[in-house]
Amino acid sequence: MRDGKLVGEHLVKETSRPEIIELMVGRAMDAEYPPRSVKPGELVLSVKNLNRGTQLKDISFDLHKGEILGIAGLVGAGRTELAEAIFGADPPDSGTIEIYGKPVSIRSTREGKLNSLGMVTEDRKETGLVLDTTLTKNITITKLDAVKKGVVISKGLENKVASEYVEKLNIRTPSIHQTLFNLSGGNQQKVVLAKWLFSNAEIMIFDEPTRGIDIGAKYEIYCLMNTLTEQGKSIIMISSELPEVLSMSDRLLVMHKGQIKGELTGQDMTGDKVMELVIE
Amino acid sequence: MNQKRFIDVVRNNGIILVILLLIIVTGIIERNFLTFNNLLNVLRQVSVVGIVACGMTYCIIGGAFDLSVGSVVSLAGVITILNINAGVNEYIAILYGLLAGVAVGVINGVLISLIDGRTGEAFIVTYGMQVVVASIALFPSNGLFISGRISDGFFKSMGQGVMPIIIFLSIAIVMEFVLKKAKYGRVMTFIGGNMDVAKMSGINIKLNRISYFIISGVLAGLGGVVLCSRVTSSNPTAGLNYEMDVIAAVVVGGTPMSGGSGSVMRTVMGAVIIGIMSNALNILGITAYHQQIVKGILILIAVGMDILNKQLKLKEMAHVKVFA
Amino acid sequence: MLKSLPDKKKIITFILENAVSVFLIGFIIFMVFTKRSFSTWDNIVNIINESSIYGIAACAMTVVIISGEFDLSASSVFGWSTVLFTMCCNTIGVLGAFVVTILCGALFGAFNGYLVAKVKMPAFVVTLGTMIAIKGLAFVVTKAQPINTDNATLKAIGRIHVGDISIIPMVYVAVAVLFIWFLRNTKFGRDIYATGGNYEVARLSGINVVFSKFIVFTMLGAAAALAAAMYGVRIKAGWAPYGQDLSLYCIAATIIGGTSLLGGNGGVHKTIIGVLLLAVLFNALTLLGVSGSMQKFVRGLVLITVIMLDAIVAKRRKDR
Repeated sequence: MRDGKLVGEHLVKETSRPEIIELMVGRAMDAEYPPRSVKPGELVLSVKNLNRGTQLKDISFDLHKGEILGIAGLVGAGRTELAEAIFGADPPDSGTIEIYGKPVSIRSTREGKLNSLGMVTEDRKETGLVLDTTLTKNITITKLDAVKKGVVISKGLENKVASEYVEKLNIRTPSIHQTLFNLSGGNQQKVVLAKWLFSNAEIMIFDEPTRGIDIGAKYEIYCLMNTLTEQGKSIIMISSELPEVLSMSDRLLVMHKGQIKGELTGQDMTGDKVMELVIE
Repeated sequence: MNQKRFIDVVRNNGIILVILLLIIVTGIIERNFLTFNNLLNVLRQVSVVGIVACGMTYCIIGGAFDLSVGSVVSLAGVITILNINAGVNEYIAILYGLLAGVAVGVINGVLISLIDGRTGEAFIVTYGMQVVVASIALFPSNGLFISGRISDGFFKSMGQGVMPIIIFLSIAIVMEFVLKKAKYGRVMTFIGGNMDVAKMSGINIKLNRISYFIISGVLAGLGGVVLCSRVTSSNPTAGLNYEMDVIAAVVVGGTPMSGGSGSVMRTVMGAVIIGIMSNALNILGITAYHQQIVKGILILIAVGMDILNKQLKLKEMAHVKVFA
Repeated sequence: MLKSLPDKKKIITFILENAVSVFLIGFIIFMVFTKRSFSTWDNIVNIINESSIYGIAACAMTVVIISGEFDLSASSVFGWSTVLFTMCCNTIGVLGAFVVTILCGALFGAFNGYLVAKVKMPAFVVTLGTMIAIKGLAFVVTKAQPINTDNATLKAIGRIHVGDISIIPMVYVAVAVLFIWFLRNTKFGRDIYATGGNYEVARLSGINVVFSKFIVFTMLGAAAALAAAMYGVRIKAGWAPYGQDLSLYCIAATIIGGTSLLGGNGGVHKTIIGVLLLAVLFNALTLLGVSGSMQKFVRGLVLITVIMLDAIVAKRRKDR
């Protein structure tokens, strides 16, 4: 089905994945994942010996400028917990975090935001967006100071910001005053992205970025991720979809039971190697 | 198009229309009702509850309740009168009363923030504080009325004439402005709308929430000060069951109990409506106890309509799915 | 198998989770040694009799809380029911009084239940509204005056004793046992836990969540009415302001006992301890000569402490 209409009916053995995708999206897709051409640069984020209760054990890793660092693992491996520890939502018990070589202390999400971090959460409907308020308000919440005229929030400035992002990210919505309830998953996710772009987050953590999003919109999100890294932003991508995390990551960390079991690069980034590390 | 808009107006303001009807009917039956003097009197009567209700509105929009306001009203009154009687400068006495409200607000805010309390926990903690503060209010005077030895001055003027009304309305206007136009207010609607989203958007939940309780506390203190100025004495149980009247004003005004949206001016309307209704019922010979029944039913109707409204809106929205 | 938690943490967790029981036992020991009048049989009987009346309602309030809601109107239903009960004793006799009062209480509860379960209005507001309205009703009907009765049958019931224990604690025990059995052993009981634990999941699992929420309020209305009737048996009078603090007392006893406000866990057997603690606490305070306002102070403090502990324990459980 597409757009409320039945567009095709086939026997499974008589059709193919590309054909189904073409019917779903409305055009042929050459590839499901856009190619990456960014070479990671200097050290942006350095995490050392992060510990938190029984959930995170001695986590250490680095993130480079323009890099997409994937984190794979089974559900319950502690990936979201790691993200929340770095972002400040649930600070760690011990360990250090350095951004651009300087040690920082992030004990709240506000501090995380001020340190140029942003987090696109696992469940955008519960923790990412306030569904019964407008698109505009959901975007500007991360840097309200930028849309103020004096002491007052300027509707004009707000609308301008919202329109900019609707255009930049190709968010399909009848208007910037639309309540997010009615937007599709992909467009909702773009609004979450917009809000972190607005706060000038340099380091962005994506937790299951394409969950609940159809194939066409998924590709758009991947392209956006590439664009962001071309602009110098760095991304940590948590995903349970092996094909996705294997195709989009420059490097891949594998977590299991709160620990980092290993790191994979280049030719080693395969599903088998990931499972090997998990089972070890 | 016109018909739809009319229905929307009725739906959104049904309660107010019913009361308007009541007012008109009473005005016809008893001509003294709609006189300037009488209405001014009503406004003066609701000012104290109104001041406290403004603070409660912030709390509710921000996702919590403050059940301790009644006791703070009592305590602030006791503290102020005792100080004035002891010869303390009247401005300082008023300040002490307000500080009592601030202190209670800080305690409420810190306790609830410590446990990341949602509505239910806020409810019980502030209820516990209500009992604690009520007992503290009984302490200094052993539960007795204290007559105030008040000389002419600022304090005395606070409770007379149009002063209570001016205090009430100016506070309401400022609070409404901040709510709708300032960053603080926008953050409040997010925290009340979905606390998790607010947190994950980089907002400092704890500090903001503590401030809501402080505002609620200080306004309850102010209400207590104005009240004891009006009655020129301190009643250690002045605020007994006050929180119910205050919440009623917010509810009737149309601010949803679930938080995330609302308006201080609507609470003002709610307080005024309840005041006018009480006055009208008094004139019609209906006693205070009957009024309680009506008040209770009013709350049920107000919220019932709010819920029905929401459900209808949801049904409408579900038909407008955006495809991408 | 390695121990996952160091010993110190385990001890702290144990103390936090059982703080109330620990405190109760400690406090009882303290009182036994401090005040001779505390451990007299008379005093113990007093405690038992006192706590039984609100205790009846506390059992039902626990069930409401397990289902994920709470009810403020129980206080007013109690006050109203004492009036209704007394009036009925004076007109249609004791048996009729019991039937009418309990039915009326159930009806009020059903009204609350309908609005909360079916119309999906928030329980706080619904029960706030009914609390105000029913209290008003009680005042109006009695013109704020107390009503007395000297119904002979009622007096006879009041005289029933097993040893020194009157009929009231026996009714309390019966109600408590009934609720405990009901919650543990029937489908209805388990459905209530499920509804409170996670409403959506319960609903999608085919549980009639609307009915569960509806029935718990109805039961509380009936229980509050029964408690009021028992009070009538004791003092043979009814007055609108009776039971003002019932709702919060029951909520406090439930939480003190260890049932979480979030719903889905706990039980009436835990609430019994909460009721006992409150009763012992206030009895002790009175014996120690603590003034009325000071008792109020302690009551509030206990409530706050308990809810804080409850929340902290829940947080630790989540982090484990």
